[in-house]
Amino acid sequence: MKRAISAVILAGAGALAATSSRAVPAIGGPIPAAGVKMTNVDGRELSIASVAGAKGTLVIFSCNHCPWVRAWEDRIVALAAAAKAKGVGVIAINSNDPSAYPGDTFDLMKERATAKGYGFPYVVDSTSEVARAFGATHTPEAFLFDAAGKLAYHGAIDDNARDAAKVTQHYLQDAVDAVAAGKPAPTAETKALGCSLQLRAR
Amino acid sequence: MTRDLHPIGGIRPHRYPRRTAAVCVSLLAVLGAACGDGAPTAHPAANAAPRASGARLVEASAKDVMAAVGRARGDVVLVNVWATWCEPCREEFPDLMRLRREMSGRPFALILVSADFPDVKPEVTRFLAQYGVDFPTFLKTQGDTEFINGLDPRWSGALPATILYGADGVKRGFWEGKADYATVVQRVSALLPPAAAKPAGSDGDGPAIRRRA
Repeated sequence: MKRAISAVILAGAGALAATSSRAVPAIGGPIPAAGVKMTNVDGRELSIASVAGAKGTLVIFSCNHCPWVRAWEDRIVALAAAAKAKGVGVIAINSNDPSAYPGDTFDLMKERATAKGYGFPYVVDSTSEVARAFGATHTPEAFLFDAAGKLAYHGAIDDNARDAAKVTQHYLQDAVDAVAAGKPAPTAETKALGCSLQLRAR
Repeated sequence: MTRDLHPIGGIRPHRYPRRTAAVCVSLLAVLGAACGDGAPTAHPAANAAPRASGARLVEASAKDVMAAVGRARGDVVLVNVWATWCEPCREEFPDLMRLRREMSGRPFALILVSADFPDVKPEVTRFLAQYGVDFPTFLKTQGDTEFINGLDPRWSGALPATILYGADGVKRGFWEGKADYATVVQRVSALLPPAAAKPAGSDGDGPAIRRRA
């Protein structure tokens, strides 16, 4: 009886789609949606291409409220400043639908950027199309592109959200340093927990 | 010390304890050291009144979670990774408990895994109490990359995350982000034997008697 049930289950398993499909750019791939204009907290319209640095471009999907963003925020701000100094352009993108996440309105983005001293653009992905183009699924999620605009690193800021003092792997920092020196990132892909993006309806 | 696999949460009090309810107790037996206080004492009779083993946090790696899934072989198992600070997780949580209630009497097990930072254990405990969770919950204490990949290499790390296993222990579904209740019920039900069927060895009390309002 159990075997019969198993057989039926296996037959039906195909119907259980369930996996989220992500069109994540492969390491070495180009910048997705590079020309899409997004409104910055200072009112300017910026695209990823417009903020690209001579040595590379760092894109971080972020938001106002996520505890993992907040845990890493000071480190992100410091890392971004260091990246800019090395010729790597930086942009933070908020792709969340504020009706799903009321904490992610444009006004609150402005407040956050000011309060935490963001030295980089923090823009609204107003249709969530950029997140979709990247296959981004959560915040914070970092994508670092090299001088030629090829993906060099994708994933976490480092290996310890909770405690900066306990970080043993400074993944993104090491990747930025490598890319700025024209080298591949020591570790190209990492993972970390974060808040799932709530994209706007298509 | 072996412990009786004892039903918890009021599920099928008079049957020999099914793995459904016993998952959490069996994991307590294995991870006894992590559970600290309140070890069940003697061997309650299989048809004693159900006794909640209580909400407690059990520190766990991905391997520990997978071991619990393995012990639940015979049940459809839904593993949900959540955190108190994750908004869609909080929104979906009542649905998880509702699912568990509505699957009462059927071979289904819910395994909750909190990805909260360990220093907010009191808040996690409060949250669980608020939703009437009276069984143990795992608390992730492993590094992110190992934990994420240990549960599912397709998982990006986004919360909430849900993994669904058939009664044969084979992974049948995985999704990131909140799913609506009807969809989850449909996915779980697709893996369960029909409600009307009585598994071999059941006694006279069928699901009709245990069905809750």
